[in-house]
Amino acid sequence: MKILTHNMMACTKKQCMGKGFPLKVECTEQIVLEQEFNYEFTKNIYPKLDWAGIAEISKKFNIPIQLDTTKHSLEDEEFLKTLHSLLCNLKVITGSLTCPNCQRVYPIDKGIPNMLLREDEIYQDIKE
Amino acid sequence: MSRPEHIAPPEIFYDDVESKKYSSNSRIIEIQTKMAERAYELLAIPETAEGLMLLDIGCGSGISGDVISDAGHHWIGCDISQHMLDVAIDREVEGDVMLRDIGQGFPFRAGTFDGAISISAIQWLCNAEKSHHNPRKRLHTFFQSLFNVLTRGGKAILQFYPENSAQIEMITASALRCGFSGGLLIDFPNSSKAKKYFLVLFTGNNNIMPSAKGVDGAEEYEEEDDNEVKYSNRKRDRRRVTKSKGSAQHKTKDWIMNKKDRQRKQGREIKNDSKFSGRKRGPKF
Repeated sequence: MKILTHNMMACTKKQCMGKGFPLKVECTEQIVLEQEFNYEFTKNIYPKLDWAGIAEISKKFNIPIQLDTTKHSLEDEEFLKTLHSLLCNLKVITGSLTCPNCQRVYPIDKGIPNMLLREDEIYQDIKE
Repeated sequence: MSRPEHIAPPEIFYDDVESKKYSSNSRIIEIQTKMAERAYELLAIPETAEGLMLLDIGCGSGISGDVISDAGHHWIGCDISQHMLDVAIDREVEGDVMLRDIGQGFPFRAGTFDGAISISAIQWLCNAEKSHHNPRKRLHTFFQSLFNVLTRGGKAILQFYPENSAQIEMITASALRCGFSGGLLIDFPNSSKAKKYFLVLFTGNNNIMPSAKGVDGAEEYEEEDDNEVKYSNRKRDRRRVTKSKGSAQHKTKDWIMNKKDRQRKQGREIKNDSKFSGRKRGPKF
């Protein structure tokens, strides 16, 4: 699971609607990819990012990045490059995701997050 | 045609063996790639656009995702079969995949994706696999969640194999109820083999439905699927020829003797062999 995916994800249990993100990452194994910097993509994805999620990842993996959104400039190539490598090059292989709202833990195995809900959790949704 | 959704639920049907087919069977790969290419074409992403974020629903081993990667976009895929996703990881697909039942909606923040494609997945939602499943409710959750995760002006192209017209109606009605506009597009409506159903959905209103391929039936023969029909015709012709050759040997002396032996073994009452058995009759006057 890339950090980009993590940034887009949210817990979908009904009680977490609108507040089930950013998911907390626990990571026991990770790899670093080497993908080419893609200017267009980084620019397109920028407005969709959740900065609370970026902040957490930046702290967790010790990657310094400008977090003050008022100081960002899409002309600053250095900043975009850091952002791109944070989003696309860091991949969590094993670990888990925890919802900040309901504390549900989603395991990550072989790079695939398991987001399946159990029957009782869906039922919970229907009731509410 | 056999329907896998009648055999077992998707997470069980696409087991180790069935998933491996998707990485090794060139025919499956070719068909899937063709459909994904068509779906991507229907998304009508302008050629200048690059680096968009797309969702692949029921991504499986990531064949359809490869089409997106080739076009220079990023994708995230959801699938319910662990084995299929393992194949995707083995193939080192560029996008990210996750295990998720699409009938439970998507685990993403609202307005994340610029578009979505799905190849042969949503017909699975029409079946109740577990006691607590309700197809209508699951379809509703699916479309509602899809509507949420798409940006305004986003499009979703969902290719599926409906079992009957009731299913088409159930799926389309559910999509429209969730706020989508758009409708069903049928490629090659007059061909039983090349016929493909695409559900074209827009989150905005001001969109023009793309036109279907092969409506007048003339174009149809350009399709790969129909080449195959020609080939199988040839095969059938060849079979017919060998059969007629067989009937030429029919009623020769050897054939008659063989037949009498066979029937004797079956215990039937058979005339004794004589010098006249199987002999050619003289010319008739």
